[in-house]
Order: sequence, then C-alpha cells, then structure tokens
Amino acid sequence: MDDSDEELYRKYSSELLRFAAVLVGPGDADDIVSSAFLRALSSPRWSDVEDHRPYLYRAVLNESRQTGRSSRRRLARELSVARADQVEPDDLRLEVAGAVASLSMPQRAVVYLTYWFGMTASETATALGLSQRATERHLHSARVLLRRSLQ
Amino acid sequence: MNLTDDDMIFELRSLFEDLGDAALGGADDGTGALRSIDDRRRRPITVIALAVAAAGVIAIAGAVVVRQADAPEAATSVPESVPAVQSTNPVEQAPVAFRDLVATVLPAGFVAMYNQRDALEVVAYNSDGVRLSVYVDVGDVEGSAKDIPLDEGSALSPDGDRIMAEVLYNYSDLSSPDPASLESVLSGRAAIPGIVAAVAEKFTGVVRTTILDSEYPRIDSEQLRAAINAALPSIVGPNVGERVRGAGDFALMYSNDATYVTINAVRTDRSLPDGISSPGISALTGLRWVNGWQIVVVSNPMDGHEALDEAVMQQILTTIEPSFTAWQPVVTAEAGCTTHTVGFGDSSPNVAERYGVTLDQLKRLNPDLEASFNLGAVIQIPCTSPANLPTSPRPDDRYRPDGDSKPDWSFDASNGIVRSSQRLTYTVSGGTNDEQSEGAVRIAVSTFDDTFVRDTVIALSPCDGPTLMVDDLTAPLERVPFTCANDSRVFTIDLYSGQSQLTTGSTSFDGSTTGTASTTSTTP
Repeated sequence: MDDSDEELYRKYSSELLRFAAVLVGPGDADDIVSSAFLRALSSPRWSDVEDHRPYLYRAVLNESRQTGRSSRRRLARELSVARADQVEPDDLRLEVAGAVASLSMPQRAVVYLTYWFGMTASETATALGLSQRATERHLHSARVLLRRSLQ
Repeated sequence: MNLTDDDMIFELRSLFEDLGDAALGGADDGTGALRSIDDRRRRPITVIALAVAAAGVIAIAGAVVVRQADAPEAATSVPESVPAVQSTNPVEQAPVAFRDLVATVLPAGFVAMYNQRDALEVVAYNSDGVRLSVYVDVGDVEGSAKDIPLDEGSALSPDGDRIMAEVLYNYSDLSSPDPASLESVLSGRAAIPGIVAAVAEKFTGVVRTTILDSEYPRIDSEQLRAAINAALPSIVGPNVGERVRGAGDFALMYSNDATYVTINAVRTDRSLPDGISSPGISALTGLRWVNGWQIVVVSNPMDGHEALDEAVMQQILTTIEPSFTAWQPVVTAEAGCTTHTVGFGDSSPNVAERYGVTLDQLKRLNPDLEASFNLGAVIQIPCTSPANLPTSPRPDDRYRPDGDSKPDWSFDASNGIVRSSQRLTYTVSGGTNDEQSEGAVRIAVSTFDDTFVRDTVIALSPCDGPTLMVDDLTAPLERVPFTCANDSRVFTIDLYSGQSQLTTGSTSFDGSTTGTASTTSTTP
C-alpha cells in the first residue's frame, strides 16, 4: 500500500465501515472492509480506476456477499447467546432490524445509499455498479418488503 | 406496527447509524449531520442483536438444501412427494397466465418461462443466453414505482400498472460476454418498447385479476396457527412464538426455542429461511406441497441440542397438513379483457372456440349468457382464466418453456439454466478456476429474480487453488488451475422451489475442461 492508497483508506474507510455494517453487521464490517480494500489494491486494474469510491463500494458489496454466508453459523450462535442474556427488548428496533435483514444484499445496499446518503437512483446505480433500472427495482422491492413488515 | 413512511425512514436511519457506530466503535466519522434527527426517539438496543439481524440470520434466501456427501454436519433434505391430484389452485397457475401473455409479444427466438417466485415477472431466454425480463409494477399498491417517469422501457396499462422490460446478459455471461450475443441483446432492447406496449394493453381484466390474486393472496395464518397450536403440543411442546410473523408469503407458524423447532409456511414461490439452507447449519427439513405452499418443519439444533428424529418431523407434517389443505385463495372475477358483439350466425360455443376459451369460462364470466345471447349483445371474453390454464404443473414442469420450440433446459452450465426439482450431482477432481473469491471452486444456486444474493454457495474447500476477483464484469475471466485433495469430491444439490438458476463461479463445469455434472429428477 503506497501513500496514495493509505490516503484513500483514511478517506473512505469510515463510510465503507458503515456501509459494511448495514450489509453484514458491525462485527464483520472491519474484516469486510479490510478484505475488500486489499482485494481492490491487489487487482491489476486498480491503477486504472479513476473513481475509487464507487469501486470500493462495489468491492465491499462483493465481499459482503461472500462473508455474509460463511459467518451465519457463528452469528446464529451469537443470537442464541443474546437471547440467553435477555437482551433489553426493543420491539420496534428489532422489527426494523429484522425487516432490513429480510432484504437481499443489493436491496440493503440500495436502501442504505438512498436513505443514509440521500443518493438518487442514478447515483446509487453508479456507486454499486448496477443499472438504474435494477437499482430502482431493488429499491421498489425493498420498500414493499419494508412496508409489509413495518406498516 | 403502523409506521408512516417518514417514521420508517427515520427508523432505518437510526438503525444504520447504530450499526455504523458499532462498527466504528462509536467514533464520529463526519456524518454527524444525520445524527441530529430527533435523537430523543432513539432507543438503545444490544448491538449483537442488530448484528445478527443485519447479517441476515432471519433473511430469506435460496430454496435449496445442500448435502455434502462426506460432511456429517451438512443439512439433510427430505423432499416429499408431490400430491397425486394436480391442483387447480390459481396461486400456482397465475404465473403461467402472465407467462402466456408475455409469450405472445416476445421477439422471435425468446422462450418465456414463468417465475414461480414472482408472478409479476416473466423471464425469457434465447439461444444466445440473453435474458429478457418483463415485469409489472402494480399501480395501486403502495410503494409502487409509479412516480418514476415513464421511459421507453415501460408503459402503463389501462389500470395504471407499469409494465417494464429489460434485456440483460445472463449473470453468468456478464463476466465473459460473447460478442455474438451482442446482436441479440441489441435486438432485444430494440423490441422493448413494443413489448411493454403490447403487454400493457393486455394486462387488464381477468388476466390482471388472476395474476394479482396470485401475488397478493394472504394465507389465513391465524386460523392455521390455531390449528397447529391445538395439534402439536403433544408432539413437540407448546408454541412459544408470540405471533405469526410474515404471514402472507412466509409465515413462521410455530416456534419452540427450547427444542429449536420451527414450523414455517412458505409460498412455493418464496424461499425457505436462510438458515435452513445454509450448509453450515445442521437442519432437518421436511417439505410438502399443499395448495401452493410448502410446509417446512425445521429442527435446527445448536449448542448441544439434538435434532428431531425424522419420524417425528413426518408426524408433525401429517398432523398439520389438513389445515393447510383446507386453505384456498379466492379469485375475484372481473370483466374480461375484451368483448364480443354477437353477430349473425354466432353461437356461444363457436364464440368460445373463436377466442380459444371454453364454454364454461364464457358462462362464468357471463352468468346470463344463454338468456342474453342475442344479436347485438355484448359479452365478455376472458383472456386467460384460471380454469383455462394448464393443470397445475408438477415442480419439475415449472420453468419448462412452452411450445414446439422447447429447447433442452436440462442443466447446462454454459448458459446457467436448470429446471426445478432436479438433483444435481457434481464430481470434482480438478480443473480451472475463475471464482470471484473464497475457494477454488464455487457452485451457486440462485433465483431468477435475485440472482446476486439468494443463492447457496458451496465452496469446495478441499480443492486448492488461487482465488481471483472479478472486478470488471466486462473483462474476460482469468482461469487458473486447481486440484482437489483425496481424488475427488461429490456434491449433490436438490432444487426445490421451481425457479432456480444455477451458476458456477468456476467455469470448470462448462464441459471444456474438467469436472463433471449430471442431473436426475428428484420428483416424479
């Protein structure tokens, strides 16, 4: 990692951590971002990338898709532990978290960029490497699912 | 729960903020402006619960059960036989209605397949592997995309529904698009305005009603849950779930945390809960097809608990099946999609024949048909009524294209398409790898409507080889060799839900290098 890469990491790691936390949970977010960064830096095409930010968002999304699966068993155990510890009940927040969890990974990504950053469909599409139509559809589907769960 | 849109967005932001803060260890990352939103309404919650939820433990994912031949902890599937009597349930048949409608307006060479996961989408492929998707955004459903301006890829139906279409390469082809397919893509895209206009014109009347009743019927979950509550305590203990969750497409009907047993009702066009299909979690799954629903009994033992015996699971299924069998959705008849003015020489049978419907269908839509069948009378003509649809397909009929041009949709990794209800067996000893990440070989089963996520990935970890990242979907794939320890690995995948798309992260199964793939049907 040269100086410019370190600067990029400092610049984007926080927002990428937040993004990854929505996708896979805060416990794995750090690993996801680190892996995505290292994978991006090791790519032969990295030096040709002009806009690093969307590239890194896509890398985090790709990485999350893989890790999100492999860590489920551990997370399931964490859930049972959390129950045993009698987590302070917060029905609404759990409902919201559950509703978000029921979304697919791209839907979560689109919802996050839309509602956290206020990105337009076009901006979100660019950030995630999706078509605008696919982005709109993910957002639409996510809204329907969220409303079914929460309204 | 009754959140307004604003409340929902607020809660989403709060959740995102909590998750982000937890990941950052509470550090301020410069997004403080968003934190100013009425913090008084925020409530504390244990981060781990959010982490688990956000990571998708309760998410719904691909409806597959994976069994590794030599992995004792792997999931075991117990697919039940399909009922001998074919259902006339419109829930199962409605996707066919939309498929039939779209099929009439597709460009030559495209074969339409209905989407049992989503009655409002039809996916068509041509021999170049180009995917054409036509779908509906229902105008009167809250949350629709009706505010998005119409463009050449969408059109409005008479009822205000938005018909949209897009043409894409199949996902598995995105990484290495064949230049020869480009012409198909371009011609398909050029046809989109005509397709959406034609579908929009026809998406009304009985066709619309049939399809929407498939999309939005609601299982009477409370009634079913009451039946379950009455029947099961003697077998597996009381239901400790507070209420039915997700009733409609997916309903958790029963849960008993002490024994880690859940009973779920899942529409056949929906997927099973993610945890069930995750190969890392030991789960026993019983499944039956009843009125368009799957009943899934899951015993997911953790932390030292033992799984239920299969015989007990069968007993559970047998006990609760009658309650599910009794459930039937209601299809409301509406006006036909076109009318016919009775002319000289017309008779009701020949009018029915002319429009390709049965006399019974005609009478159903026009109750006083015989009495009012006079010269000049206007009668309603059904486009496609449930009764006129093919009898309910067996699971392995789903996604089998119609017509004489039926191609062989048996497993072909080169175009990434499989039929449903198949058992796929892979024998892997070595090959070349173009996997995006994680392991030398990857077999993924995905669904048509959510190719990128709802899949199950089997990483053949004993097979050693470098991993590559595909970061530019338009770039050619690189391939590197890998080998498998212990000579070979055998993996079996059972596909249940009828509309799955199989992709291999590695193209080692494309027949040109190594690895073998064979398929046999798992259901009659």
